[in-house]
Amino acid sequence: MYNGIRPLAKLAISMTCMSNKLLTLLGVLSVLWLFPTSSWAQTQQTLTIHYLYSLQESANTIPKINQAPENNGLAGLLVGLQDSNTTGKFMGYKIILKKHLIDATYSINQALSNIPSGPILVHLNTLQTQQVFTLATKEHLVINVGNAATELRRDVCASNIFHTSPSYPMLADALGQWLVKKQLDSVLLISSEDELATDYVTAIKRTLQRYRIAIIAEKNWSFTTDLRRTLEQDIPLLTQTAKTYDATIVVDPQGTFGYYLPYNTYYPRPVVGSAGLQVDSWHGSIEQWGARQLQNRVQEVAGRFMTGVDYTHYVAVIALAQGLQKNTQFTVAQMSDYLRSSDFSLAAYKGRKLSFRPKNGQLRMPLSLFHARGVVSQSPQTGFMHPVTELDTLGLTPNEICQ
Amino acid sequence: MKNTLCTALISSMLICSTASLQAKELAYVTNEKSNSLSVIDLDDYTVIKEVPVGERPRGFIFNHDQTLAYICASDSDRIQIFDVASDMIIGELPSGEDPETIALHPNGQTIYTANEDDALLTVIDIASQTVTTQIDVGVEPEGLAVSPDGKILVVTSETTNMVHWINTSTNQNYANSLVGARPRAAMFTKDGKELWVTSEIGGELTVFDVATQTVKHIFTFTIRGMHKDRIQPVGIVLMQKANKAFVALGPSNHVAVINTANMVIEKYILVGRRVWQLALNADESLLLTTNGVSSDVSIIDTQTAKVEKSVKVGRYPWGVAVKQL
Repeated sequence: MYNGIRPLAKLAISMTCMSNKLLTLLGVLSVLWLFPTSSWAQTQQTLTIHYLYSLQESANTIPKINQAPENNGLAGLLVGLQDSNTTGKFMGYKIILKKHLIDATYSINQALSNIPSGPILVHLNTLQTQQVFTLATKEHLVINVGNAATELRRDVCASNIFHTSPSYPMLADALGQWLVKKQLDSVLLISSEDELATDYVTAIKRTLQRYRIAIIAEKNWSFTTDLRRTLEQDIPLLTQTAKTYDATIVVDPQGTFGYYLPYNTYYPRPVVGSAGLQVDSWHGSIEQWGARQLQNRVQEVAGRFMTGVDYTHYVAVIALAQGLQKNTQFTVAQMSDYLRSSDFSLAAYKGRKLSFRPKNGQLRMPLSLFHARGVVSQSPQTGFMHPVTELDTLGLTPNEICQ
Repeated sequence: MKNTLCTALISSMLICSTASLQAKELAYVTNEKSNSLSVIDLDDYTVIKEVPVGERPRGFIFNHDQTLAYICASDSDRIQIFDVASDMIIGELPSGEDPETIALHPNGQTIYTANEDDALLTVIDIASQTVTTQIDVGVEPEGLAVSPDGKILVVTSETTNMVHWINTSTNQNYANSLVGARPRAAMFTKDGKELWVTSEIGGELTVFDVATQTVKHIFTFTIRGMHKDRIQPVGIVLMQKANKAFVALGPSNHVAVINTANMVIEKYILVGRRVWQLALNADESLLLTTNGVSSDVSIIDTQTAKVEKSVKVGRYPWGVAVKQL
């Protein structure tokens, strides 16, 4: 049984070493803490954030420049800890990190049995994330920090589960609003055939229907050959349609082929989605709204610019830290309630306050549209209205969730 | 109002009261993205010159006799000393990395700067051009204010959401107060009894009792037809001669007028886009606002609370201060 308040005990920090392999982190963020009976401000209190992640190799066919950095996500997490602990220094708390690498030798079951309570950040694939959601008890506060899958938001509405990662429907709506703004009314949709792409394509079709954008043709990427030499012959053929389109949407979450398309389509039209004009929670070129300082701190920690995955990790940590600032004696349940409440608002370099949707715990945030070297736009676009907040024009609507 | 405090926000108030009210005045504006100062003649509201300075100039204050100005050239990692008569940079103060804002102690000898990238507050002795000490503060320190008696320095930290209270004689941080998200500017009232602090993302203006560091009042702002998330309080000025305060409200493109006698928000004035910092001229008849996104300065008549003119300046105007000739 969960008693709410537990005596403070300091956890030993055991940081498992990162593999040196060039791998992508997958993650769900889970933070566990021990709740003190005394005020955090009076004595130094320690909160442990547990980080469940796995390593995923990038396919060899993906050019190095398009591969995710080795410490993708972790860099944001570390900067989040650093920022939060600077505040903690004045408030008398400290947040520490315990990493749990999920692999063949260490299962999610084992990890959760080692985490009696507290916040857990999860950066894992969809199946694994679901498993964490199922196994998590009321003493865990689970934050998905790296998975965009629709079903994780659509089917799970437990009060202690949150997502700082934007969902596929949010990403798709952000793109769709930009297409509407630019009066690009018809598209060619090209996607890969893997599971992630299928999920993203479903979200994009939902958006296109919402905004009445026509699909001129839909094509699957099935090339298995190396196109480096025949790019200029093959891509125009693939993108040739009887009727012209205003834009090509490419859905390629793994980054295996999307980069072939810009400037190579049969009609000279913009490419958007996983290549060309992309959408994410963050990009290295963002410097507005004080973001330059955040980028500088990530540079110092990781020697590179901040990615979207870094950002979602960062935001998860500072959201928890903000809860501690509000009340250092929060229990898991109280923290969950606070994060979902209208009292919670987070300043996170987006030019407006962020909050969580109470129903499914999804972080509301503006999303950036950018090309490789600069920001193009930010959605929600002006004119897309919502009775609660314009940010809710992005993503699943309440009647699509937990029905 | 002789020799009161000075921050980047309110430096125009430094002007000595001995000057004639009819004196010609010039407004100096730092242009964050043009790496320059625009100088506006306040007689006819025209830009008379644009002077190149260091990279990403933001905070800007004059010394007491307005012969020199100190400019935070953030990307040059230094505070530049600007000779007003010759329009030349004549020296530098060691500032630590990325100085954003500056405040001058009433003694005229000590300058404080917030190092946004390093979570530090740097204390600089002007005469010897040396760093006296650096004080650990929260993440992204920004707003600075020195109490009129010079005993207290406060600094806000944007990402830590705190006001740090520092004793200027010991340079020790003696108290920390949490405020709304992303605190920006801080300003003491002329009697030194209250401290006003804006929270950009929290959308609040918090008034502290200085003696006890307790919250006396919190203002929130409502503009008809404007979503509350867009109303983001940043720069503040408090009039010395009237019971009036002005608060820049960022991307809502409005300035709030507050009656400080009854603590009521009286009016919202429409200005340029993303209004940032504010300054009053010497006789407080004019209020100037820097409007970052529209790259202009709105000049407001403080009596009528109406915009007299918008003056185009360089790219991303940030700081503003007024000099009398």
